[in-house]
Amino acid sequence: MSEYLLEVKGLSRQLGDTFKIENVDLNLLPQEVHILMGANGAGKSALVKTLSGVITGYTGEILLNQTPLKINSVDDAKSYGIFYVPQDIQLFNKMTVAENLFFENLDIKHKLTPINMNELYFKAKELFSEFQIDIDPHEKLGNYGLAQKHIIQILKAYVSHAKVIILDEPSAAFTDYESNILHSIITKLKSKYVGILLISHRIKDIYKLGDRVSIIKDGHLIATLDVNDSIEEDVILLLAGMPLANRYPKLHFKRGKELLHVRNLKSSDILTDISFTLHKHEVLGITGLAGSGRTLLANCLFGNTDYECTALEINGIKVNVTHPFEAISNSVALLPEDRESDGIIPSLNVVDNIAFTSLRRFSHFCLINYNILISTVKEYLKRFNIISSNIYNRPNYYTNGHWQKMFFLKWIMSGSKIFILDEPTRGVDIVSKVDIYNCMNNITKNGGGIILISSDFDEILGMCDRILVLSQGKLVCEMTQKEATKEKILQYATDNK
Amino acid sequence: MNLVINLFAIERIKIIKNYLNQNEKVEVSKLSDMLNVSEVTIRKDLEKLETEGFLTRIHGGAVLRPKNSAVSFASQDTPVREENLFVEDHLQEIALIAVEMIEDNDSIMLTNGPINLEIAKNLHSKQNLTVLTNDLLIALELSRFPHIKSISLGGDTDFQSKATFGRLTLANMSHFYISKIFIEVDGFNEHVGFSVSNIDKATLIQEAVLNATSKIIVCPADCFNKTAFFKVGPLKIAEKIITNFNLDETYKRLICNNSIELFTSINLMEGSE
Repeated sequence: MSEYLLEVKGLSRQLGDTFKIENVDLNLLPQEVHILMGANGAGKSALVKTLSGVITGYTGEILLNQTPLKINSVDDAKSYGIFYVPQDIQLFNKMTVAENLFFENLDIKHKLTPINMNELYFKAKELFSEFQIDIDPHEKLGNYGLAQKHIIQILKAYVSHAKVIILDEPSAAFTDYESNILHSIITKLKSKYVGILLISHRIKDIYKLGDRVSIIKDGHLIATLDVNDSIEEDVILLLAGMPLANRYPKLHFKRGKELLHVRNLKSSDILTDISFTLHKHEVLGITGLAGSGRTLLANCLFGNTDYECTALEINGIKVNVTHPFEAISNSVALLPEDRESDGIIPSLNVVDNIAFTSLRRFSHFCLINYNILISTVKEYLKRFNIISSNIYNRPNYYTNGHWQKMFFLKWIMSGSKIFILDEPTRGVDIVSKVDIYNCMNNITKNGGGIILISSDFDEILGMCDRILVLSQGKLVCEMTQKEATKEKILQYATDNK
Repeated sequence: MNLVINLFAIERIKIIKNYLNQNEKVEVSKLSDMLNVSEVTIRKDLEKLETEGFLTRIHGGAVLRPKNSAVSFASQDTPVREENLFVEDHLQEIALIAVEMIEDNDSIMLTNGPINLEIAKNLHSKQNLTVLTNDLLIALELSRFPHIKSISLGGDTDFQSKATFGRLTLANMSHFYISKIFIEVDGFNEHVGFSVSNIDKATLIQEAVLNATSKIIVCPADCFNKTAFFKVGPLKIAEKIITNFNLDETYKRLICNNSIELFTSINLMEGSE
């Protein structure tokens, strides 16, 4: 009988009217990676949030090193040495990377001791070189992409000297390259006698990282299994109620004439010499590792970022897009990667959020005909399976998947033809995913063109007619759907490393 | 002021009527461009015309309301299954997606049913197609197109569905191998699987899937959670399912979890080209 680092007995917590975590027994050994799996909404995040004090007021027992303890706040959990890394980014964009990294772990002996900034930067640099991460600690955090922020957030846990580290789906935003970094961080943590609870959706993670797997379904922990060769992939998946493999509903259309033509685009020393065309009825996939310039490219095309190029043609006509206004009037639409901060206007209700790009359609003698606007929005919402019991609600009452669908509606209503989708299905439940894919089919069918930017290679392979791979700001290859394989994409994406 | 606007409205309605008589359907955005007025105005005009009974408004536009005379060739002297207009719209949406899956030079099979009839009506743009069917109405419909080869499976003709079934049909079918089969079912239930309302049809489908590479189920969303009397097979027999956009979430999840490609008829983009 080995000694558990963390032991949870009969943990229960009512969450909302219909959902609760019930009677969860969970334990964690030192030097162990314990993976939690389950479908979306099964209660994984709720469970670890309870353990880390984000959600309080639980019943049941939590023991750390055989001593019972009561966690009433995040501070409590941290003081006991339980460090929680949330699914979303909770860092400060305006501070430097190193400041973010050591924000909660400044080694100060006395309140008045000055902070040795040089030491912080040196430590950060050392850390990055140890894990071969290409991040400059002096740089402002806001200049980095989502995947790099995730890595910094995980490293924050690394430097915290916590005994128990909880990672909530760290690998969701990662390509294989970043997954390898995560892997080496976890291995290093294990050697320091840390216990890790890891929430993951990836089967690969189980074999690569896991020592034990627990499966959570509808708020119950239904099984804990040792990871060995006899673990049947299918059994885990069926238990967790997750898809065996992603299948993509993709309709192929005959390629139409040129919709968008970009030649020699250049921006902020990252993107160089980008040239491509997008045709009508086509989905063009752009993929690459984090930091390869995918999001920057999307922002350039939407006029969000300064750039230079020798030619930008939409529908065969030379245009100049230097501001989102010009992009919109040229029927370009962008669905941003960071939906929460760049996509939604939280202070407006659902109707206004959807309609504000297409107000011109509903105006008559300089007045907006609100009745028709509302009935149109309602019709759209119905057709996209968004329950609109109260359309005057703020968007934060809706799920991530619904938000994403609302963005589609917003741009479809304003008559956009060129859709730039930046990670459209990340963090979206499977039902909304299918709706989104079918919506993409509908757009391409009706003469639109889609640029799909994604780090999910399966999605790229499944949904795109043509695939471009970005590596360090350059387009390194172009393939058709038939030619492309995951290995090929990865090879091109990592080529000049 | 009042007079001017009135005159405009009359002019507009005349133009819309003329346009519809020629083209049978029209999009709001097109009219708005054509007449240089906002879409609000057009929608009002269409509403007015709808109350007059001249047209039927659809998502993003309007279609000419059919006159009482024969609509299609097949319905002239053959009894056609009765459906109201709303349901037909739903069936057509499904059919249009199915048509996109059919490529030139394919050999396909259409089992009997109204959605598959809709598919047949929309096949004329395809080249060098071979269509196998047990539905007489589909065979009749396809016989209008010289460039589509349609093969009708012989057998006992069923009075209700106007389709052929029985041992003769099965024997005929064994001569062919098809690349895509479109199966129209009448019900689906998590425990029973797919089901149809006719035992001969169930047998036919079970035999037909053995000779097909790609199995595609077409089924309106309201048939999910209904069970017809005769069992066809479990969910797993399908590779792709085409249905309406309003399919219940539990079924969407079930289908995805079984790694079946699910196509729904979300029809959001207005207009084409």
